[in-house]
Amino acid sequence: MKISENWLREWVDPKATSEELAERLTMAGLELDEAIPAASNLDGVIVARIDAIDVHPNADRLKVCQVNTGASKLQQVVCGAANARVGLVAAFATEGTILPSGVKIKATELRGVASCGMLCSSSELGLDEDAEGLLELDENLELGKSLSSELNLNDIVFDIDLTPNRADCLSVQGIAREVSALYQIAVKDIGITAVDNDSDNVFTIEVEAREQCPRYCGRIVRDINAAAPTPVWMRERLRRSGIRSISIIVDICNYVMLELGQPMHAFDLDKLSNKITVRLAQAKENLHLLDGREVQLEPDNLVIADAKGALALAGVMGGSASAVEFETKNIFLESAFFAPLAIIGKARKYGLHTESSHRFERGVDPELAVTAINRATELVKKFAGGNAGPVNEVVDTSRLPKRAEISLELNSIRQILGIEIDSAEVTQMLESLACEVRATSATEFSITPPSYRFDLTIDTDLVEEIARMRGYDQMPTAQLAIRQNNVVAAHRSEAIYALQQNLAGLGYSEAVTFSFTEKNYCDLFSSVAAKMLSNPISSEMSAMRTSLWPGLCLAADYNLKRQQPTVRLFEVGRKYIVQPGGINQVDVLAGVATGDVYPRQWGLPARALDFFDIKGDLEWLFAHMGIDQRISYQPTKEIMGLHPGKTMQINIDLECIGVLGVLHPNVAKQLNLPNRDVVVFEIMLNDKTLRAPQTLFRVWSKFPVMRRDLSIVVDEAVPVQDLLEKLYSLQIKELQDIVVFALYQGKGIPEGRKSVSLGLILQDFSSTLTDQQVEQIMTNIITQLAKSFQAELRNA
Amino acid sequence: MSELEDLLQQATQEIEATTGLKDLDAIRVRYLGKKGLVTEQLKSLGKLSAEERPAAGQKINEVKQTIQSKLESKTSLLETAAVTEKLASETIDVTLPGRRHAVGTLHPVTIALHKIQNLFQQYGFDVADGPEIEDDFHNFEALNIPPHHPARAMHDTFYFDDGLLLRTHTSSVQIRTMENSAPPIRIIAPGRVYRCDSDITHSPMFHQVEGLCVDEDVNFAHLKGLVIEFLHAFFENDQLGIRFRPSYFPFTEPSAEVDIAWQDDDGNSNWLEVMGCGMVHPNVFAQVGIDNARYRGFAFGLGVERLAMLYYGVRDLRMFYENDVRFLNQFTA
Repeated sequence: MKISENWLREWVDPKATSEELAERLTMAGLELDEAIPAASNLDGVIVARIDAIDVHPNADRLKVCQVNTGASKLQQVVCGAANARVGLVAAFATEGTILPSGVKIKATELRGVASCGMLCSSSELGLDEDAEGLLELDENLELGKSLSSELNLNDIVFDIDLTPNRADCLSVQGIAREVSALYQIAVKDIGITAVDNDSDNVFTIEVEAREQCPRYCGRIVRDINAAAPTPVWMRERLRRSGIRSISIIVDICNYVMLELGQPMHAFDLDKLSNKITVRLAQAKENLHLLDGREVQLEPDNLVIADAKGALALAGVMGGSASAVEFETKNIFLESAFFAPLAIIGKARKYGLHTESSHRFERGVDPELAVTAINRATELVKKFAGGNAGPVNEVVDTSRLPKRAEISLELNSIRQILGIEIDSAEVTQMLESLACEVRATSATEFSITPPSYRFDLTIDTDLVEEIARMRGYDQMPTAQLAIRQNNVVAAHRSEAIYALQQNLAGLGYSEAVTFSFTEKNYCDLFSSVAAKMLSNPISSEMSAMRTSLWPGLCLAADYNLKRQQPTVRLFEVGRKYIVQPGGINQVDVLAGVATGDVYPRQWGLPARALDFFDIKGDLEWLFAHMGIDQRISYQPTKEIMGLHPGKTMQINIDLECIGVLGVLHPNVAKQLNLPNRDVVVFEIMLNDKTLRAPQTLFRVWSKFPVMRRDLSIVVDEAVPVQDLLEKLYSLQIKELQDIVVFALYQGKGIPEGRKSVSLGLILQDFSSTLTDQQVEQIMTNIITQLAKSFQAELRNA
Repeated sequence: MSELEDLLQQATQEIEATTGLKDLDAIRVRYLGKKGLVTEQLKSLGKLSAEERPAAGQKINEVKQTIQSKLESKTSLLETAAVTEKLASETIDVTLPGRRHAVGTLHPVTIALHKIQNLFQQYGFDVADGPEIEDDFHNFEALNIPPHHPARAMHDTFYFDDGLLLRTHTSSVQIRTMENSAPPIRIIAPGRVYRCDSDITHSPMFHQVEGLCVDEDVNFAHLKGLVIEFLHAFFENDQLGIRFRPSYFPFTEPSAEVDIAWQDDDGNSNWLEVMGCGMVHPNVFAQVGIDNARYRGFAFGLGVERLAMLYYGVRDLRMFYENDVRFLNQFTA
């Protein structure tokens, strides 16, 4: 809501500077978004009149004007404006003036004719962005006076960011009421009275939709001059509130709306047929709106109609067929109360948002219609002439918003706000907000808010008013009583944070990618269709991700394109899997890595990272999570989008909790990634992974450790994990650990076989192992491996 | 006895001339060994008279000891020289960079979130969680935002065909928490939220932290005290200017927006909005069946990126989601 400070001060004028006033309003919940000067510095621009015009001898389009500035000597000015005419009072920039654009006015010659000064358009004065022609001023302004003082340009426009509950402040009157309450000074009487009727001329009004329109006022004004100019002060006030001047009648409707908060509409009476009917739209009824669009109405649209059909979309926009034009002689003014529920969402449905719909959706004072139509009539008669009929009001008071009494206890105020307050202060505050306050006991009140305060319906609403009036900055502070955290709840977030920190320690940077992506990318990794947004911003952000990999891979691509030799990224977030009966929103940790294993450096050979680098990272991570002992790996060809020979499933107790693999080359290509290993992983963040069993101390053996190395040759298809699992399954109590320290294929090893070198760590709890014992264990192991895997000792 | 003196002189010369420890040992053997020249002298004592013997013996011993000590000092000299030489030959260029591993970092949103969680956990707030794909009831209706409420226009909501939506705020977790647990309640709900809006200051996805406290005797003063302490702690500045300004949220009343005094690039101090908060609206309690006669509550919500932007001086919101490692790797703490 943009409002001229000068206009506001006509209504209520507290002893406060502009800054103080704006600050006070902000601190009362009417937040000042911006304070904009009404105009730039226009020193040197004065009111002047064109007294004579000659044609320019050398240019058809230019006129040579003799300009009267109130001084005895006329000034000669060459001007090209189409509306320059004798008698026009206009803004004249005298020699030396610097216009808002920075142009300095100098005496000059235009095509051989002397010109000193410049007649200005609104846009040249910085008052309007795209005005054509000279700014036309009122004829009664005094020549030679500064334009700033004559147009009251020394003004500030407060742009106030109103919250949706404060529809009552969408007018000068509304904000004035608020200022009045805040400063404890009365709103001045600006003298709106009932305008007597000049005739008995009425136009029939029939309200069918009484629920949607409990009050409808209409009034005829005949014999007006719809082409009369709008006084410049009114145009200026409209301009400062961001409303364009159209014509005197439309301008008056808008002016009254800004002034009082009542949206108004004027119909060309001669274009109306028979009577006004307020009703719901009929099936397939069409309406040609003022903005030039033809819309098909819905049965829940409230319309103003005549005998021929819909004239206007009630409370939203008028129709073009009944619009007031310059030639209009007789008008029908409308001032109504439409129920918010009848208007809400209607404008939006047609892509509209008008000053009128904005107000009706939030609630217009149901008691305002008559006052407003009187005000509008007064202004019409004053500036466009005419004679008015009586106000024709159709009202169903039973359907007007109820103003129920609200009971309020002093104790509630104290309990909600934590303040001390007495009943006198409460009464004074609420009365200053125009509430009727009735004390029902020493500590209880019954409050009736004014009709325009739609937002005050329960006692808490009043408590907020009291807090606002006292000022939030005056509210005390207090400390909450101490409370112990829920240990279980804290564990999860801390465990995830530890994971994030550990991954950062391993050289991964944490990414945050959007939860929605392109559908094609989801399809790379999931055969289940992604859940699609019905109103996405773009197709690139339309599918709820079924994996974090597309986002991470795109981020990797982004960085590789910016000369990063290595990318290691991880993300903690959700993936969204459509399931029968709902959507599973799964928390996961995912990562991507590709490029150099280390930063390029003198002390380490350059090498591209591969599957095992990242597997090592995960093993390290699992150890830190305390779950490494329960983890097992399983080769898989089943993960969509990944390399069938370089992918494994990560299990805890046979339940899959994650995947590690290399992107399938075709998928990498589709994600623009380079032709080298791109390793990705995903780990579920659930109780299995985040809740490690409690650590219990274990005693270690104090006897010496023996290590025996063993190189065996097995079929190359035998997974090393199977060998290790076999050895552990033998339950050899002295076997503490197995190190895989070499893997070899090639010369000396038969085709299709591989040599695996194992370091067996042996230790006994009760004694030092003897050579015989060790030999016995080794023999057992070799025998078992030979039996299960046709393993042969290498070089044996 | 000049023979003895000659021996000493000769030995001294030889010791001085020696450059290697091996040679030095040969000298020791030649003079002091079992068959050494000085040892031979001792053997010759037997030829002397009993009177002469003690004096002569003493002289020979003196020569022996002198040679011994000269040998020792030369040994130590040579050993020191050898170590020095070894060290000199082993010297490395310690200014060469160490063997490096890539440095990873946490996302600034994670850092800010963790800081926020830590601070509120100190006040007994637990971390709560809720779905991002939400229903209308939890995101709007239960929060006192019925269909067609003007506040819905402030939330540009992403919808799905089945009527579900992407939560527009973490306030939905308030409702889920109150549905599932009885007061007293103290939770914060961090997480992703979504608005159908994208420009330099708006992202279609960002992070919020919602807070909720429901108890028998909490009031606006507790809310104000907590928020002030939190902001002072977050910005590590207990002189930070903070103001509470009346505002409107359908699910709280009284409602407030919280501004902090912030210096812009030109050194001018401005009020910047960082949080919204208020007392839980009675209609919200009614929706979740909490007795408003017995319990009161307050709630607050803050934008994590907004706080992180102010804290780190990031100007462009979009950088948080570009995942440019030149951005990410700046946030080491």
